[in-house]
Amino acid sequence: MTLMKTLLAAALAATLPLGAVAQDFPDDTVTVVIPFTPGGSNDTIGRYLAENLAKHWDSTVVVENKPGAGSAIGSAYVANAEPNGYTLLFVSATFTTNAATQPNLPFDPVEDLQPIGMGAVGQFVAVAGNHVEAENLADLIETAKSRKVFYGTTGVGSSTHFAGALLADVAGIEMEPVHYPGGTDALLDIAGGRLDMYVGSVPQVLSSVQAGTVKPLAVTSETRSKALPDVPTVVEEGLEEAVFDIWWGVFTASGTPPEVVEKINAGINAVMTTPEAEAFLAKQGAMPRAMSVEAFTDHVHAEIAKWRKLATQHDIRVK
Amino acid sequence: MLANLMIGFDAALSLQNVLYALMGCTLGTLIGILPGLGPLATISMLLPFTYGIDPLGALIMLAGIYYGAAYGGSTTAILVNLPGETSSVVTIIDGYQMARRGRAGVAIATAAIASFSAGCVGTIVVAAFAAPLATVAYRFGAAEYFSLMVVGLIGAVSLSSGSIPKAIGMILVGVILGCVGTDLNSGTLRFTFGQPHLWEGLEFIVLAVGVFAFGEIIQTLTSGETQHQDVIPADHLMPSRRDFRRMTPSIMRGTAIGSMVGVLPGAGLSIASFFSYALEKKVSRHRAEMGSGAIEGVAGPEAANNAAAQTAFIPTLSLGIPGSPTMALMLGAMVMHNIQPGPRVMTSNPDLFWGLIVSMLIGNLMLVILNLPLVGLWVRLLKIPYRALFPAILLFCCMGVYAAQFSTFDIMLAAGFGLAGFLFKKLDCDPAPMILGFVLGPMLEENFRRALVLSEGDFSVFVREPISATFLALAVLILVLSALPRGRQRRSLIAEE
Repeated sequence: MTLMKTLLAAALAATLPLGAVAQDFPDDTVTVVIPFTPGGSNDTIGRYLAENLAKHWDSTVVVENKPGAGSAIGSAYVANAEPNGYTLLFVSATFTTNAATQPNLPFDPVEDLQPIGMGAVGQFVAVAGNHVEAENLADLIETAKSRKVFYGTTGVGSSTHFAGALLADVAGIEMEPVHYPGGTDALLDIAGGRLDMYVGSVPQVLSSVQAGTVKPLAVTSETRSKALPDVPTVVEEGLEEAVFDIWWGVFTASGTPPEVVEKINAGINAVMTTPEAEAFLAKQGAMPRAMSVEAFTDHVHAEIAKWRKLATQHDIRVK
Repeated sequence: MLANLMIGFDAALSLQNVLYALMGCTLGTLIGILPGLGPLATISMLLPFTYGIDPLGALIMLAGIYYGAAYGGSTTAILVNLPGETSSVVTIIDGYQMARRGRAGVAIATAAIASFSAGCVGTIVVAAFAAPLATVAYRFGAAEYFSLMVVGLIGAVSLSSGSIPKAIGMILVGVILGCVGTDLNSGTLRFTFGQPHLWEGLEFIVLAVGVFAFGEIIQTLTSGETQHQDVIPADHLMPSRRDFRRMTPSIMRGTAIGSMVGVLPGAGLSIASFFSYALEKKVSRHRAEMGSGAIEGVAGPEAANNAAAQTAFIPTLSLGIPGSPTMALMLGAMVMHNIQPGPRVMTSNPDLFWGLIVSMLIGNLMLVILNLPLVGLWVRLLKIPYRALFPAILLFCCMGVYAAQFSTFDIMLAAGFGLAGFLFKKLDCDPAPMILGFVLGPMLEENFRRALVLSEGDFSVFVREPISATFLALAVLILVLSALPRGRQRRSLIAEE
């Protein structure tokens, strides 16, 4: 499918005088659409990227917030924009989870949008309450075999829901999701002994771990977290398949000339991997991870396929 | 309690937060003085503009508007014989009489002194009450929250005027509006009519600005209450030693009554003033003069309504149950800033909670400074015609609604709600229970279902947990009481808030 699409785009591209287009890009204002309200990590990181792309290209890059429908309104806007690379979407990993749970999206997340590059990644960590008889993942799996384990989520189809469901799926255990309006509420219920565990972002969970109200079991990433250096990863615990990282990436409308896409990708990779960018991202609990267009496209499409499968198995969907 | 107040001073005394308090108090005084523009509409209007500032700053400013309006309202009552706010209706009786006898300045000073001392005592009462409530915070799970919300919603019936069926109807309208969007527990889209703009639900701001701000503008324009009256000049502010001796006991009684009434869910500022006035008429040594310009008639009610304005924050902040529509808006503001109201607020956001309480002390001091020397300036505001005022308000509202979601769709929605708000007034349906239903309804459902998921479907969890069982029993009690004839009388007074 991906190959077909790339070929199709290439074929389309061949019919246009492209060399010149890519060389001059950008000779006009580039708009970065953020499909969320101002404030929050997606907006903060997106604005940083836009600001630095502008310096990098010596061009004007403006940010436009188009919130609504859990990122679908902004995404649809970019999907329907002129495919010339001047309208970009900066969105988090909710893009792939939404693609798996929302059947009525006003755009096709695979066909209508061209992934360009990864802006940054962030890590998740699995934590359990002090009342849970588990010091690590192996203990938790044992516990889950003897009694029902409840894990908190921040809503049906949220990243935290998928992270928890994935962990249960890979570990081969049954866990029951309990939905909360926010991660803080879930953490408070864990501290109060009413909820067993939660898989959430490191910055969100950190203060509870430090206060000792929850205990960290494993970081769901390939590498350990700098903020929690003593906590093992799921890979170390033998559950490679349970790796769950959140990311922020850039997309544009399908049919955009590949040279332009490559040029934007190079720009993103250049500005998001500087020591300054690394320091900025660390403050947001994130880190840089440069990816080629192909690698990012594969990553996004593989994730959508993976979440669609998991969503069907665990009945995670918006009706 | 002292350590907690220190946390509060730390948070509230930052330059930024002092400025927010000043802005809130100034604005509160302003709208308090202007009849036809109340704190409810003003807070709705300003909600969207608090998005950009941190939650504490936002709440400090909104709270400042709330109690600042109570100050400003009395100035209008004394000088123009019009209640700037409903809470100052009682102040008119003796305040205007004092003004007619050339003692306008003294009356205003008395109102300010009474308000200030009562506000300070009220703040201390809040601090003292809040700490014991904090200790039960961790024991509040889904079942406890559910039962608490039940008490809140049933209490909302007692907030409303007119018939109980109408109030219940308005709550249900609010609950239905609150259901719009994606259901947290099942991911089901409700009442979205294929409109992606509605997937995330209705914005609180859209509803509040529509029903209160737009609704009030339409109401004022159609009722013709836009003419202003003559203003009695106020000079010579300083009360004499004899005045001080006479007002002191009244202030103390008013403060005590106000502090108690404020805590009751469903009671409001005007109830506190009425109670205090009634008490003064019974026990004051100068009761014979009441009604013809007695200083007690200003000092008592003014102390009462300010003490109540402070203590009304106890149920709102610590239990998440608002005592009045204005408090429901404050609650909405907290939810908007991702702060879940309830006993956990004190442990999860101590600087927010104590910062807000301490800011009220600072705010009360500012109000005295704002009100006494600047009284002449404020009064001049009464000369601005409404036809010049309302287009500005309207524009301001639209900007605010748009800023929340960058969506023109929301402005259209708010306009629709404005019309609905006007109709509700015409049909004599109080919109306050609707706002409560909107805020509390979704929380009620969420906690109900969460409690059942965690108990694996066992319904007895709601009566097995002692705290939850107590709340449910309380809810039944309120239902029984409000069905009695005396409860009905009380409700019609409260509705004036």
